[in-house]
Amino acid sequence: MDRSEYCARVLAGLRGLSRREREAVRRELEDHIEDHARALLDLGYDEKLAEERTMAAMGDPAEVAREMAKQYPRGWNVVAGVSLALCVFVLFSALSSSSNRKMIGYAWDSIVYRISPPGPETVVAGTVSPPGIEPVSGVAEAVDIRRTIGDNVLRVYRITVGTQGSRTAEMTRIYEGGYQDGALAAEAAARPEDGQLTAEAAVCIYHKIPGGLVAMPSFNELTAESQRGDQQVPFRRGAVFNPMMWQVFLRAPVQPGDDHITLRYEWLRETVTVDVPLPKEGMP
Amino acid sequence: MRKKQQIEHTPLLVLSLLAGEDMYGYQMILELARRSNHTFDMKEGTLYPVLHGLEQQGYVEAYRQEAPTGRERKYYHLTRKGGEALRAEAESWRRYSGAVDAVLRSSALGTA
Repeated sequence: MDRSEYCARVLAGLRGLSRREREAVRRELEDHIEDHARALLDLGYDEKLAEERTMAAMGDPAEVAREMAKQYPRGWNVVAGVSLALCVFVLFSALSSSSNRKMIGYAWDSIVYRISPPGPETVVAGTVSPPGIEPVSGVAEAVDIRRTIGDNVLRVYRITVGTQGSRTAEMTRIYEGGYQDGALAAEAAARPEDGQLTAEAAVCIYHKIPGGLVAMPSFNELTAESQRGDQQVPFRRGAVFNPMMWQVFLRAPVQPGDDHITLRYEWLRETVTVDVPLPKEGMP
Repeated sequence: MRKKQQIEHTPLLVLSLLAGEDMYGYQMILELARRSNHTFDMKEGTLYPVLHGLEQQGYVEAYRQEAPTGRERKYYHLTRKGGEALRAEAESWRRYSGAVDAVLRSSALGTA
């Protein structure tokens, strides 16, 4: 057995190592063999004998390989490698279809809203909803009121008291034309009078588990009313509305002296109410 | 049993060799044989698994450098962590060998 065969036998037992690691081991062994053989040549050995003696001194290549392999445990690396490959495959598959890309977008929204829901202005600005929908402007206050409804969480995260913009000509045309459907009609209905003080609760609804689907029917009767019971046309227009997260602005008319509005919904055939305090700063 | 003992103690011996200076593999073999008066004549190939194991544990680190002979070699250097391990292991070994020695001496006295 010469030095190249010796090294080959050691490397044969190191299949778990990377190519770079194997090359480093081979080079180190060859250096050592060269050192030992040269020392023997310097002592007057002939080349063949020097090589034989050196190989004998190196020991069993299988044992060296076995001991070396123990220093490079590959079990977890293999598991990590397989997991990584699987993740890449799943991600690639997910991104390769447009519906899956949408689902990822939905899931992302649902995560953003449970961590840091954006204000109504940001939501409206970033949406493709028809023009005309604009948030109430006035005194705003961050709140964090949460209710668990089955597997979903209803979260009120901001309350604003102020006035709404006037009906646009387009809204008036639609509203007076008797059209009841559509975003503009809803917005027109939610602007009953110019200068009317209105409280707007920014609400989001998401599944308890990120990525879970929101059960829409539970919230069909979600409305807001003033503490005197005044209720505007239910305004449930969501600027962000997807199967995993629902963003809605709920509005109710308020008067000076009011200190809260009430959200109301049906759950298991019972009416549930949530009082949302108006900003402490008072009315604008 | 004797062989096993040698393998178990090789890391301690290697760390102790590197406490003085950085060395490459063949140099360690020669130095080990010299310092132990050829008591520890290990199979030379088995030194490298030991070195790589110590490197994985962070006790030694390796670098390539040209040796005085002009050839480039892989040198091993004792890290601070390796130095601490050496001190702890050496102390433990001293206690162990002292205890064995004490038992042997008492036996010798008893049979004398």
